[in-house]
Amino acid sequence: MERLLKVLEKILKVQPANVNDMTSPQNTPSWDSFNSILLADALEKEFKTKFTMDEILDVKNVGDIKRHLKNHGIKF
Amino acid sequence: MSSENKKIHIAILASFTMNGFDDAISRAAFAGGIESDVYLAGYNQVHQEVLSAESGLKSFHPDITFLFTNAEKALGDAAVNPFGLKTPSDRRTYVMERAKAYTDIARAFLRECPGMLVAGNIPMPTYSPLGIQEGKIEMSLSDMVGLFNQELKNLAMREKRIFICDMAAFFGRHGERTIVHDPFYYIGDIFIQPALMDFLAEECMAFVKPLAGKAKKCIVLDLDGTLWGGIIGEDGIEGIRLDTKPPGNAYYDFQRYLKALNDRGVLLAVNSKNNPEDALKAIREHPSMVLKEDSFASIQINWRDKAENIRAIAEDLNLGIDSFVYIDDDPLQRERVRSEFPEVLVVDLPKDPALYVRALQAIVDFNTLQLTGDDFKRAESYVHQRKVNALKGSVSSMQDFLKGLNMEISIQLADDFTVPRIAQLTNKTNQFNLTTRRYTEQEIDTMRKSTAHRVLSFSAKDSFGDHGIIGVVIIKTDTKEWAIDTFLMSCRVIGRDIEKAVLASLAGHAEKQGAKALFGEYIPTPKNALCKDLYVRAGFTDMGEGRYRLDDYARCAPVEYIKVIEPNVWNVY
Repeated sequence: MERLLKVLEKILKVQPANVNDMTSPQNTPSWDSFNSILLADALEKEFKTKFTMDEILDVKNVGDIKRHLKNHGIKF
Repeated sequence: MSSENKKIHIAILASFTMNGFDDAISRAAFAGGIESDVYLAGYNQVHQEVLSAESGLKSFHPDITFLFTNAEKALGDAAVNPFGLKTPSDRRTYVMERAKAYTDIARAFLRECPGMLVAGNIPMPTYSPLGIQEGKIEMSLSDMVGLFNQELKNLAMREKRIFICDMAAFFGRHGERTIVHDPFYYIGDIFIQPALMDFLAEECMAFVKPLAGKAKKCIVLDLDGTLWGGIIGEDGIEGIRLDTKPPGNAYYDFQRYLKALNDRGVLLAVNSKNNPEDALKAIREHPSMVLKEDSFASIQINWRDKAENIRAIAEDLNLGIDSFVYIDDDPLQRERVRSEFPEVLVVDLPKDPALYVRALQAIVDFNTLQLTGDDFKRAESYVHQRKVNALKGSVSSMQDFLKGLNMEISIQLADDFTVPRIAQLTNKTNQFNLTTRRYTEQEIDTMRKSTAHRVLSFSAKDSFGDHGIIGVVIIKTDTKEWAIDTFLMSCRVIGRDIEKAVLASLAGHAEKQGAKALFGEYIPTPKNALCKDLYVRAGFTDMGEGRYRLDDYARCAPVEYIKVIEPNVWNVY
């Protein structure tokens, strides 16, 4: 969780303590559509993986990110 | 006119998403010692920004604007399916139309916006639906992209304010599969993925640095381990690695690339810890030395501190240390130079000589905004200067030395031919520049056509060669007392009293034309201390606050050993 939180903090400028599975673009002003891409970019680099277009578009909150990372067999 | 340290305004227009590129540009500029304000136009707002009277671009007043497009946006469906257009002539006509649409934007920019426009060309296609027939048919996809890019280049060759950002070369260097992240492209029309933006921003600095007066002019080179492999003092001339075959060929090739930079006007200097006779023997006699003794404008081979040698090279060449690039394979020496002169660009040369050429190619700091005939002559002229300095040692007095040079200067009114060089000199001369006023070609052209000013250039010849145009004077002459707005001279010819000869000529004509006095001005900058006393030395009276006045013209006497030619300068109006 620590590595994921670090990425979220860096890209979205959020306090890790305030992040939970329901953290989403709706309740996080800095999470705009371009930052969604930067987030995908940073996660790909941090966890050395590649996401598909559908995975990136499917992410509606932090819980979704965790689900996709798990599907990639990644411990975060 | 711009002052020395103002913020450079950099604008970015693109027909695809470039979010984040503004930050990349700021970072790259900052790393190059340039303060910038960056404006990123909205997604695909190129036309609106250029054409609308109240756009963000207009109110931003850009000094330099980057414009990016790609094949999809520039050629539309034809970028994917070029053979929907049946005949070669259909395809040609279509590309010409699309190229005109793109160059029309550039032309509108010239009309509507200030500053430089750097327009990106289109990366070459790496796939064609025609497969192997691509290479067999007329006006194929790659021909279409080539034609589009050629049309853009044709415009840049005609228009001084338009430059080309070679995106085709950028894509060649990094590769389409690295630059384009396909999911990001489809989700957000992101053509350059975020990880690559810093590389592109660095390449953009090739245009920003000369605009900000940050161009480098001289490469200072170590010898052992840098220009050849091994140590000349131990391995001897037969033992060092320098050859057209491995393992010496990497060094040989590195020298070829340095020679090419030297031929386009970048100066080279040697800074080496060695016995001078050993190292000079290698330079003179080694059969695979591409760089010859005459390639180097200054040679420091001794056992002194290398930072001290750099100072000596700067004095030798009359150049600011901030215009130096330092290349040395020894990390310790690099650190020594970096700590003594943070303003020097110290290249982190890779350990493997096979990577030296790449390291050299990555330096974007040697650019000038105008490339004039004099640029190609410059390196040669510094080598003359080194020979002149050698003569200095052989004559007894300075006066005898100057007499022996047989100097001749020619002062002339600016004309179509000299305006680019004059503008270039106002933009890059820092040391012998009394007022450091920067002018564009357009501004110079306007002044020279007005009766309120005289815009003059002067060139110099001596026994060792022709230096070309080496100085500029701009005088305001529409008042009873003439005022010297700009007086600058290339550092190559400092220390020969050429400046005094020019002032004496001005004084003589001010008197003949009935001007009551001649005013000079000195505006101090961090770099121009060397001309601080010029006007006092030339007989002007110090009026305080950097103003100097000459009304007793006899006090500013001609220099006996300099012949001055001034064809028709003063009786044109």
